[in-house]
Amino acid sequence: MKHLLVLFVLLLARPAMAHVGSPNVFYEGDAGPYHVFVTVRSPDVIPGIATIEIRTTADDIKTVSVVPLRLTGPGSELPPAPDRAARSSADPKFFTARLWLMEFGSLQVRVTIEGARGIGKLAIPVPASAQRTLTMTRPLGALLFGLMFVLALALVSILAGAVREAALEPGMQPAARERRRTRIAAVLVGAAVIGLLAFGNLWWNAEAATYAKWVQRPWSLGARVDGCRLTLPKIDIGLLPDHGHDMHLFLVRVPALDRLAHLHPTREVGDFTQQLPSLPAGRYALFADIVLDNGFPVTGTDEIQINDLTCPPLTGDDAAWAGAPRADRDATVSELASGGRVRWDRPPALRAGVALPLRFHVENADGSPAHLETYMGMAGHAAVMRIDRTVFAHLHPSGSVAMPALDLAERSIGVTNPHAGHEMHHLPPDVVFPYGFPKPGAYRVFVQIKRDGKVETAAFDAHVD
Amino acid sequence: MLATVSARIPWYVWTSVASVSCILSGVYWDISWHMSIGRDSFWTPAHIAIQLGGIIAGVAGSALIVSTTLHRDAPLRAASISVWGFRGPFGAFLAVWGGATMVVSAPFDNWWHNAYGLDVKILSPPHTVLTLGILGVAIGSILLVLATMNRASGDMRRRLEWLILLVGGEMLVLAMISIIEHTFRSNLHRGDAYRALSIVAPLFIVAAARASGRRWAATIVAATYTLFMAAMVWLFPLFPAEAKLGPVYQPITHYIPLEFPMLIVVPAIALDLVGERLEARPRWQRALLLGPLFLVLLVAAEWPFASFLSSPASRNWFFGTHYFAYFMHPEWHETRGEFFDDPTRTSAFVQALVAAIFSTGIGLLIGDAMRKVRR
Repeated sequence: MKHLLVLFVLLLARPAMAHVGSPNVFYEGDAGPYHVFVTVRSPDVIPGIATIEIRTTADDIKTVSVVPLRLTGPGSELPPAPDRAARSSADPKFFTARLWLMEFGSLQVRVTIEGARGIGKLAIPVPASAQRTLTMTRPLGALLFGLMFVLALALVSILAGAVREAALEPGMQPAARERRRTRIAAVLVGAAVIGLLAFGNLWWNAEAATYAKWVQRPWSLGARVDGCRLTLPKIDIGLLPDHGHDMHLFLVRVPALDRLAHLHPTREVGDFTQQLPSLPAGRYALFADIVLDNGFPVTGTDEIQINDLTCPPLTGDDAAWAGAPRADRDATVSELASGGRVRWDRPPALRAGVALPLRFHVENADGSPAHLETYMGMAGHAAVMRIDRTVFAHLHPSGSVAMPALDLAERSIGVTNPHAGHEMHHLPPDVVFPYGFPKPGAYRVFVQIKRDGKVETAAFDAHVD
Repeated sequence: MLATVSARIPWYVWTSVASVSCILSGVYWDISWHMSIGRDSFWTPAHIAIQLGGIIAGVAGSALIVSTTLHRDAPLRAASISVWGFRGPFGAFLAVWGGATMVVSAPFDNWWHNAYGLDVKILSPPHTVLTLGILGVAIGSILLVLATMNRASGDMRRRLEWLILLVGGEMLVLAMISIIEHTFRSNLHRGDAYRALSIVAPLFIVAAARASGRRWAATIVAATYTLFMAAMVWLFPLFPAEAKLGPVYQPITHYIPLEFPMLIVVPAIALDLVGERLEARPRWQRALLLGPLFLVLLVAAEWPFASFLSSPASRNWFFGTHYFAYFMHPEWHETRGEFFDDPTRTSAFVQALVAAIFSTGIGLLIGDAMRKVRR
């Protein structure tokens, strides 16, 4: 069974992950009649405990329960006993649960809400992967080493004492022969204990090295530029199309973050290829999102040097943006290239780890609300980037989940519309992205919307405490 | 003073038996819990049973050491050893050491879970520290009973011989449980399963049998293991349970027991029959003959029996091969009733043969040493 277990893990888990440095899952949608904002705070290690936070707008909810399952295939049909989420005493519309994620790979968390309007269900894809290995603190290490030393010494003393006296008839005193044997025994047992500890140390190192292979590592894209053509090496894995594309690739000029391209390379003879837009010379960071056929999302990264490029205009869903370099002050308004602006209705202070809706309002040049169109089926796309590139997340109005994975999750509970809760026909001028900045620092948030048939990009600088 | 030993079984013999029994039931229950329910805490009944076993042995051992050290006229003063200025029976010191090691394993295990995730394996470094502690408690307990037995005579000695065989059988169960990851039935046409069995089974069977000195002792020890494991297959499914961790691959409505016992009772009978005739020979010769005999008979019995256990005919309450832990993927060999291939079968069986000889030899050595323990 052990061998199969290893194979199973190899097949289903990948040591890379969706987004970069942003392991938590944010989702906003409907569980039947109840509108909810769900945050899955991923554990650092697997198996480990995820914290599930459910914020509702409804005040008629009685109970909220959560269960983990695999996203597809075996393990996706038999739920364990559900975990009841606890209602916050300070906020009756806020619930939290702690949920064990026992396996690496493509999982889902199902949320069931019972209330006055009946039972509502939703399913959220959760890619489970290890984030890190804990190092032992010096005091704990010293304590355990001290205890180990005492126990080892005690064992040698006990066994030496036994060799000296245990076989003597009661009342007899050990003779010189027993004393000599005791000394020999002490040396032999001491050597055996040292050997045992050395073996334990080797074993520990081997276990740590095995585990380290499963800790999330960036997937290096290996990108090459040849004129206007960008090539990424082929991937021999089945992929699920996301908004009709195998890959979503973001190019950002660093460190100014004043150029952005959202591209969709296609697979030609295995390799991914993409025509680049006209770009000024500079170094560009690359972030590529793909979704494996089991629903597990992966983000690859790279950095390339580009000389001044003059290329044909982009077509289809590909879009490029040029704007102001990033600034150290927070921005709430970003002007759009073809007139009008996007306003960020943001709280006075942004705090790391706090899940919140990033709410944007799009205006025309005359200040009137804009009529938005869907861009690849969505009211908007957002890319959140920490300026040091340790965080990158691609967001939609439904949150940070990959849409094909969400589709799989919702189909598993009988919901066939992957965009349930996000009516696409009459788009309001507001677009909202549920998210939580993973750590403090300076960020730039790119928001992409479509208006009058054109994709437009707004950029906002933000400091997160 | 020591004459009282032959009149009444002393209290520390009973605490020793209770301690090992608590640990064994706790360990079995805990593994079944992880197969059926999954989620646990420090305070599950199974964990409490294990800790209680350690506490009983630790407290009883400490009480014996304190009273023997402080009172010159303590009953065991003359039958004690000296360690770091304290006096007490050898078994008491080892049991206290085992209890302390069990306690130390807790923060290590906790840190391990935080660093590398919950270890769902039986054999991991922190679990091995706990296992060493349990071994200390169990061996300490059996030594307390042994020393008492070796000083006793007549009817009292015979009663204590039975207790040695009982505790020896319980230790054999614990040892066999520690290798179940190698001996799942889908592994029983592989050499490494028999290598693991050869390392563990002869050692515990021969040592306990040798220490008791009774006829049919090896058979009794192996039968204790067989009866315990079989009874659990029959009893555990009577109690309801539901999986509390996911993903769930198998529906769970009741506790899932461990697998049907290995047929080690077959070679154990041979150990008794042949061992008796080899009594006059030196230990190494006996090991050279009995070790291979054990392995050959074990393979002859277990190999076809494993085929039967993997067939639909065994999927009933008696053999319990239709019970699967919630985490067992339907594509695994075990659930499909298939065996793993074994490309290294020959070398693994050669290693098993060597292991069986050494294990038997060490079992004889330890058993003979245990017969000499007076304190």
